[in-house]
Amino acid sequence: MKKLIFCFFVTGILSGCADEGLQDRAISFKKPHYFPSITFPEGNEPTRLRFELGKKLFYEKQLSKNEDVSCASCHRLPAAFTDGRTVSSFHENEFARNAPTLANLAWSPYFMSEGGVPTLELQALGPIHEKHELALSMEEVIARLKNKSNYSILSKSAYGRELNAFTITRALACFERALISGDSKFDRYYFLKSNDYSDVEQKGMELFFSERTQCSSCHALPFFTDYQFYSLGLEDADIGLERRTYSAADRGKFKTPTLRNIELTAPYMHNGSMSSLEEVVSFYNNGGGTRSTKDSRVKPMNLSKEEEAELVAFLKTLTDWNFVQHENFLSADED
Amino acid sequence: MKMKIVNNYFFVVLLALFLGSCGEESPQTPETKVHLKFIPTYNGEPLSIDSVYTNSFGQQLRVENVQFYLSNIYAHNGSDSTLLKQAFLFTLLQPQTLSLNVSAQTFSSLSFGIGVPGNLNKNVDPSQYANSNPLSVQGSNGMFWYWNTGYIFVKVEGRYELTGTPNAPLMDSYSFHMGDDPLYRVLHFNTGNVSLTEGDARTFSIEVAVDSVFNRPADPIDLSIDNLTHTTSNFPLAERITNNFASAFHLQ
Repeated sequence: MKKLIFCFFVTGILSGCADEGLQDRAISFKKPHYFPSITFPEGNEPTRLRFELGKKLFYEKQLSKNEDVSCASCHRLPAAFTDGRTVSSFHENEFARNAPTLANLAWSPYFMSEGGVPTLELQALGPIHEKHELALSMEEVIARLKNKSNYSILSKSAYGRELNAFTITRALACFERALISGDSKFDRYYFLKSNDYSDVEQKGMELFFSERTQCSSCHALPFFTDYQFYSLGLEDADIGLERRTYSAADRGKFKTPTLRNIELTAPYMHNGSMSSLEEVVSFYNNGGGTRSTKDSRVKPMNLSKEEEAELVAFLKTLTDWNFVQHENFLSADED
Repeated sequence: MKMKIVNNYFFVVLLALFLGSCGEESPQTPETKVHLKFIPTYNGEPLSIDSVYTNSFGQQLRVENVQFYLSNIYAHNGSDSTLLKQAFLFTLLQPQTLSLNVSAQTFSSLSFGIGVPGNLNKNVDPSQYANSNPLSVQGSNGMFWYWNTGYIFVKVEGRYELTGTPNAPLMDSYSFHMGDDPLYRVLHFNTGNVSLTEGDARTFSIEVAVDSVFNRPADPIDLSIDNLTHTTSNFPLAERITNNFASAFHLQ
């Protein structure tokens, strides 16, 4: 019934306003007070229709060559917009990587593991064109979607332009900026001073922010990332940041991932080589990998098994259950 | 009725004013034409994608694709420079003459960059351009990297075989994709004094000697070793191919 009501709502809007366009209005994204303000790019401030167009595109399988996958295939809401697979490529690809979460992209200064994409709008072009992902040219995308009148109407109403690369990338970015996650048990305890942390979780938090582990020196508050590039010493064919800088000193360095919702985003590391949080914490505790570019802070921590378990318990308090069940982030089909 | 006639007159006057003002504000009709005709060659003969060529290592190769950006195309007269075209994308199997509308002027040299200059390359969103612009998402025709944003300046692709045996099938692929700011190259060509007056049209033929990619005497390419670079995967090779390609342009 809920789905039916939603369909009537959308159909009513689209059919009722086909000639004159849809009424749009500015919206704001709800964020916790302990997150900084969001700077929106000029011309892509959030509106209701920009968000709706972006969400529709995000779940649109016609964006893929074989019409069988969408952005949401690798970025699923229940998995905090990851996909649970080791790497998310659909084909063999030497640079296939574990799908990153899309939480809190509004604050990311750049995108991709090497940081080679400066804006969220520009990032949207990548997966569409990438032959191992959606594998479609923009020309084909527009040819497919322009005959679906609701896309044209939404595009014109939201941006005053025909559906094109500009409006598609802006709308996708608008939707992705709305994916804000900051309502975890940790947030309520640390920022809102609730009292529901267990002793184990408290000890894990103290370890996390301690000089002994230095976890928080890279996984810094409030987003649990400093957006910088480091090597953990993992050895594989993926050279990471070196791909962009041509410097051997950057071999195997990747952008620090956020730890928010980390419980839901297994497997871990850029190559998805670790299946559990226990394995990850043990890896760090043993001093990381062997690659020569490994960051000096990654060294044996001499944590006991009990302390490893406390760290894991703490990491599980970073899950924002409201975020991963947020109805506004689901497509109409999944509502 | 009288009101309707008045209204009609009013409309005609408005229309006349509108058209008149449009005439004044629209760009002047270009007075001259400059055509830059690009002629891809191999060993001095027109390049054919069906031909098998031999490089200086005795390796056989076929050239199946050549694409490159030219940008900041200028005409120079002493210290004065006129921008003729911001960017142009050459694609081997498409029309290869760039026709430019140019105001009457005198110049003695032309210059252009191979690739896209830094201010138009990194941190630029191609979706801001109209589709007709060669720097746009659709106009760039596969010449943009999306994982590390920026334009691919030059692509040279084809097949090769190493033994030099006549009629041997060319089973292996080579692929050279060059981009990134350090690989931008600017070329200058003396044209002699060219004076263009209203109605003039002038064609400049520019040979693109693709054999230079493989056989530049100072740095020939051994395809048994160097057959793949997408710049980031092998920057030294990308730099070598870029320098070889920059030597391929000759004003005829």
